[in-house]
Amino acid sequence: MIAEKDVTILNSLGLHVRPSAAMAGMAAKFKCTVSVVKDGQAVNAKSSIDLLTLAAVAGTELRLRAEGDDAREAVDALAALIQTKCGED
Amino acid sequence: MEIRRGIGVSSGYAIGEAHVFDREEFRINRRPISPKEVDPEIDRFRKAVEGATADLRRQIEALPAKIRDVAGSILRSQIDNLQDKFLHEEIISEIRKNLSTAEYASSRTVRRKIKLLQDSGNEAFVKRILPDLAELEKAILRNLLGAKRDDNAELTGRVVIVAHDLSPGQALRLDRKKVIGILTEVGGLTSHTAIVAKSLGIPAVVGVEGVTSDVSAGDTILLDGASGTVIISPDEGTLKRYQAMERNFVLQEKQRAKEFHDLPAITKDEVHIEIFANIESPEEIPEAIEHGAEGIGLYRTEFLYLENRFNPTEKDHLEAYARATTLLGKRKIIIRTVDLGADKMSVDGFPRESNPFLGTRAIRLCFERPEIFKTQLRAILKSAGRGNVGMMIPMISSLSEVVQVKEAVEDVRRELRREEEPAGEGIEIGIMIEIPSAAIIADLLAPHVDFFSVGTNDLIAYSVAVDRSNERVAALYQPAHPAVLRLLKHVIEAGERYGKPVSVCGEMSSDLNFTLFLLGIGLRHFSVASPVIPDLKKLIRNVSIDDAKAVAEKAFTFNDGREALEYLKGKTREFLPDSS
Repeated sequence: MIAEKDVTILNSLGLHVRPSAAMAGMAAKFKCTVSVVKDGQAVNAKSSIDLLTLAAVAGTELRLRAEGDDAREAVDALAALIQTKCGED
Repeated sequence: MEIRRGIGVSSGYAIGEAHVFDREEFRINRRPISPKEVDPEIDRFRKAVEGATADLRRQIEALPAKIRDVAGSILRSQIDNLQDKFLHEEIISEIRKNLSTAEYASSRTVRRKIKLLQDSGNEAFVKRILPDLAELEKAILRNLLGAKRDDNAELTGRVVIVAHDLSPGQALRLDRKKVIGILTEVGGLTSHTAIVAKSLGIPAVVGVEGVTSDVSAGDTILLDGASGTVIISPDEGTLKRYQAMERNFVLQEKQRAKEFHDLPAITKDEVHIEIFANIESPEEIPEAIEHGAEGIGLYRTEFLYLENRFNPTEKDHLEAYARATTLLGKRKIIIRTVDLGADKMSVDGFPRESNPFLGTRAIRLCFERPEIFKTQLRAILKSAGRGNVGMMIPMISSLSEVVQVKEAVEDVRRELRREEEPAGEGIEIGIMIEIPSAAIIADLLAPHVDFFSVGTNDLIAYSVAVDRSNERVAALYQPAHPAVLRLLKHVIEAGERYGKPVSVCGEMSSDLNFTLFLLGIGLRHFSVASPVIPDLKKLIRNVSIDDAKAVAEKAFTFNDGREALEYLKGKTREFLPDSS
């Protein structure tokens, strides 16, 4: 199964060290593969470092994409996390 | 023989063998490994990651409990980065597929990530995050390639240190018996290297671009710390000439110091002028006393922070202050509370400030983070009884801050009394006058403090609105600017009116061209760089207060800082014929 969701980064400092660690940590809980796409560039959401390289500043629109049995749950959980600014601010 | 030019920041001649300090650049071994070395190499990598993680955990543990949650979260995210399993897989794959050493694979992989980050195009974001990724690479390499060196351990003879830059810690730890000169690629008159070299009396030249590539270890280096001239591998004739100049200089210095050491700094009309020294660490005190300092007018405590990962414990403070009071005996020492910005201190929860110069620095940071202030205050108050200790607060801009400081001091006192510890009763509390608003309301502040000390460097910079390190406007920084002269007069007069001593601890007091002016407007307390003391005493002994008053009066008639300076220089030459 493939699931997708569009999200917007709300953190004032963007997806910096702490939020990307939080996101990667959440994504790692799921069995499916999860990627984050920005401007056509996809990175592995389970890697906090890869998330950093996106340089997703406040207001950036991203697409969450998951593939596997729990893809829907993964995408929903991550979207919710991003909505709460990954626990920041 | 090669001749280079830089900025001379500490006079004297140095002729010695070059000892080149490596930058913290690790030598990454590019040689391919053999297939059977692959598994051990992967193991090495894993161990390095564990080691780096353990280092960070130790750092978190070392944080004071109160800020561990907050300050520790940055360190915890560094651990998260280190533990990124996908990063590990990439590095391990590189080791296996390309037969790379662990260091080569780690470095390449992290740099690849850095490149991706840089290609994202968002400059501000990249600037903020890059250091974390760079640190990630360093942490892994550090654990792969071994421990920190003791910089002095390798010094065998008397050497001239050649480096890209010296950290404040390195500068202070230099073995003065072995290091006879300092040469760096970067830095300026007010950099740490310059300040420390000057106060230790080590000839130094900074700002010689690319010199670490031009010099090989063992080359003979000749430095002229006054003119900023550097000669690499001088020929016979040049060497002889400079050796003669060096002997002469050393002789003169010794004579000067001896001549004036025991003579008091009194003017021709018998007015006693107090001369203190500025220091960055207790290690500079013997030098200061040797040069004739009667006390320490400014102990910049920032080094304690720079040396202890910006987190010195109360014990760290106490040890430093104890060393200082032991070395000084009855002589006074004024301890200045920490004057660093939130950016330097990497304090958690602070967004990067776009203008740290005007931001959360010094006392403002101390009010925002009372635990930082409290740690230092406790140590200062506890140390007060061990000697003649006073304290001074930087960056005061208004009276309410002074009131708040005194309340904070009282709170700490009450705590110490409850603990039955010495509580620094009666310790003198003074303030730095370095912000124009404070200078202007000096009369409102004077009743509430025990003394003023004028930080002329920042006072000039804030008044004329100039960043000295910005080459385009640096020329606007004029100590003899009419505004500055008037502010100084106003501050000293306010002190006089309320019977509070005023001292000048900024560069202006060490600049002999301003001595006459300062004496003339009523300054009686100078706090200077130690090497300047003998000449300062000499000048003071050659003038009367009336001479000085006349000079000051005339100085106020100039509309232009440069003209006023020319006038002051001329007058200084009259009273001190061999001044430069």
